[in-house]
Amino acid sequence: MSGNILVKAVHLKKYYPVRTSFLESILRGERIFVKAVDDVSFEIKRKEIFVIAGETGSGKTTTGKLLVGLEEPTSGEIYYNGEKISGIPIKKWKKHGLRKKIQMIFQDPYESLNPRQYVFDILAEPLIVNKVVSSREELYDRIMRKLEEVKLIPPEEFAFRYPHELSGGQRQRVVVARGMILEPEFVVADEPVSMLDASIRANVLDLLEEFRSKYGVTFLYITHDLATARYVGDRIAIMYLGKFVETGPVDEVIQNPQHPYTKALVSAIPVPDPEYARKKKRFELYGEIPTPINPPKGCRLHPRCPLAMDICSREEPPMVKVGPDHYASCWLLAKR
Amino acid sequence: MPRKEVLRIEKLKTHYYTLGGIVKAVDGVDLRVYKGELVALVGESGCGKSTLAFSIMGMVPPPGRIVSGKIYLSDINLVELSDEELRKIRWSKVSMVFQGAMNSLNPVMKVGDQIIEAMLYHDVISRPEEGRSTVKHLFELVGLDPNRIDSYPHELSGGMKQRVVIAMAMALNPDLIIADEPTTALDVTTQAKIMEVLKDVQKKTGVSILLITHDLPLVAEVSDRVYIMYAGKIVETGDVFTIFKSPRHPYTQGLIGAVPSIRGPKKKLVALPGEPPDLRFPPPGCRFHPRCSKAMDICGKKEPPRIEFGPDDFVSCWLFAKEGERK
Ligand SMILES: Nc1ncnc2c1ncn2[C@@H]1O[C@H](COP(=O)(O)OP(=O)(O)OP(=O)(O)O)[C@@H](O)[C@H]1O
Ligand SMILES: Nc1ncnc2c1ncn2[C@@H]1O[C@H](COP(=O)(O)OP(=O)(O)OP(=O)(O)O)[C@@H](O)[C@H]1O
Ligand SMILES: [Mg+2]
Ligand SMILES: [Mg+2]
Repeated sequence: MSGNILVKAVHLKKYYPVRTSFLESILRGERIFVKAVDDVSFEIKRKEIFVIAGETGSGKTTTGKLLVGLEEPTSGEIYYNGEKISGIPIKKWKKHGLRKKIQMIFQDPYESLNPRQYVFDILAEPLIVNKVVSSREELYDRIMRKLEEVKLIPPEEFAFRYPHELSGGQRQRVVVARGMILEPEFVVADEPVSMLDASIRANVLDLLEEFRSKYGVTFLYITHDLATARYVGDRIAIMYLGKFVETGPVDEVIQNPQHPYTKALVSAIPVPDPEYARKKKRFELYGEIPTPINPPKGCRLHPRCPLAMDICSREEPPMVKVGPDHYASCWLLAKR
Repeated sequence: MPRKEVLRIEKLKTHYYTLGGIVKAVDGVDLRVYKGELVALVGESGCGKSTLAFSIMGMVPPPGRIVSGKIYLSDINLVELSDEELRKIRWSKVSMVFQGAMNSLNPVMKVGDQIIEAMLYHDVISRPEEGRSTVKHLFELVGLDPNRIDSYPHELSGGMKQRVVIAMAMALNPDLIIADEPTTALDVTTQAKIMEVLKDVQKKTGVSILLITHDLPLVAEVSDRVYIMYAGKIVETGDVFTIFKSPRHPYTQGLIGAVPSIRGPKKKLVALPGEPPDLRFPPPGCRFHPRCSKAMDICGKKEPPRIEFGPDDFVSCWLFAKEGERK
């Protein structure tokens, strides 16, 4: 048995080939890849909310898709409940009972809901496809209960509306309801609130917490926003160009960042306190995040890092322990 | 010495006349910007921020139009100007960084040429060659390598494109820049840099900035004064310290209570109940009353008065009205 660990990723990689002209590929003499996820290992505990945070293009969504079977890893393994699930094609997930257990909630409620379906039908589809209800009454009851759980009350009033007849916040609740309708054990929530205004974000985040405490759901929460990460997450991984650069308990990583990238990220985040903001010293990197095509050799951050040393451009830094359950991969922290 | 007023808006109403009804997007707004200030206009999606900006630029898209009110740009009331007169003032006195502008740069034209074209159009220069050195200076001003003037948009990162857009807004040396969500699509580290660019440009040129955003923490970091907008109206204004340390309006309090911070003890986030109203059918009385935990009888009946605490320091809320007035 896998004990306390529900999801485990080992040396996970996902490379996408870049389409290039025939001539260019001959000139380069090799195929070019976007190294979206490049050797990432982690464990997610049962009932945990594990966060992956990072800037655009760092590989967060791709990691999430690998875990739910929407993408196949280029290499590496994924274990679920102790059983290896990487390598099982998505078509066979249903047979293995994985389809119901593992779900993903996507970031954009406008794109991920069919505009021509009633909320009821949006929620009914997974129940019917996965044959988890045996009667119309059961179908109806389950949908109404789920709508209530995501606070779309009274549920009868929301069930027969189209997505465009809902506000942004309500639509996002429908997206959450759909992700939860099969009562999954593990849910990847990809930026579930980034399209919402601050005043209603907290409500949707509270839903994740409620599903965790009520049904023991385990979450991977993907975000670029460390402030919301802090409110929902237990542990966090900071991702940069396809790699984890730092992992640890959320508060520890945010209050006491060790990797220069995490430091820069934390210090760039505005704080809603004008007095503190005017005093704070910023730790800045050079330039902007490059594309993960041909990422820099050695430490991927080195061209942007003001603290870079010789070795950083030559060798990849190891992950080192910097505190209880707190790890970072930086040559400054490694004993050489 | 009194501060020099760059922009003064009085009782502005801008509505959209749609088939489904009249959208009262800006509904009686007063707002002021002084020379060299960074003023933030904050509010949730759809509360009318961009519409207010378009009104100042004289570019309200149909079916919208300015219904009433005044917009003074250093003593000239823009609302009374003809299109031709407006055209002259636009960009040279007030310019705008549009929401999402960095993605609407012309993809087949060099970024420098796009700025030169704008300068030619406004007779700032008479020949394109004259423009190149000006544009190089502008690029330096916004922290871009001057050689980038011959780049195409796709060769630039998001942050660089946003700098181009800011350079463009500075091209005619305006008194005021309206920056509509200038950092929303950018990563936090890039966002921080772009805000620094704006502050830096301001320090060097003395330009005033009206920053439009829904990002409260950002406002806390960069602005001098803040206007809080809700459903087409300004509900509170004050200097940035007052707004964040002792907000008066329940909406402002609610917004601040709902915003997570990476600093300090982890407080419980309290979301505001409900959502902003449909601006075709705003609630009677105070537009915020259906979501307000402190709402009284009168709040659903009569629009709240404006209670002034000083110049550019007011709240529109019945809680602050004298006992006798609350009927
Ligand atoms: N199907 C695909 N084919 C080719 N490249 C891809 C594909 N999906 C993602 N990528 C690339 O992989 C990298 C990582 O993308 P991913 O969507 O995982 O990033 P992300 O961290 O979720 O970013 P964001 O914050 O913008 O959502 C990006 O450079 C992206 O362009
Ligand atoms: N061209 C238009 N026709 C009809 N209604 C419009 C038009 N443009 C905007 N509106 C409506 O006017 C209101 C205010 O819109 P506006 O774009 O000014 O809001 P905003 O505060 O800038 O929002 P956001 O933060 O999402 O940019 C909204 O209810 C919107 O639906
Ligand atoms: Mg993503
Ligand atoms: Mg807008």
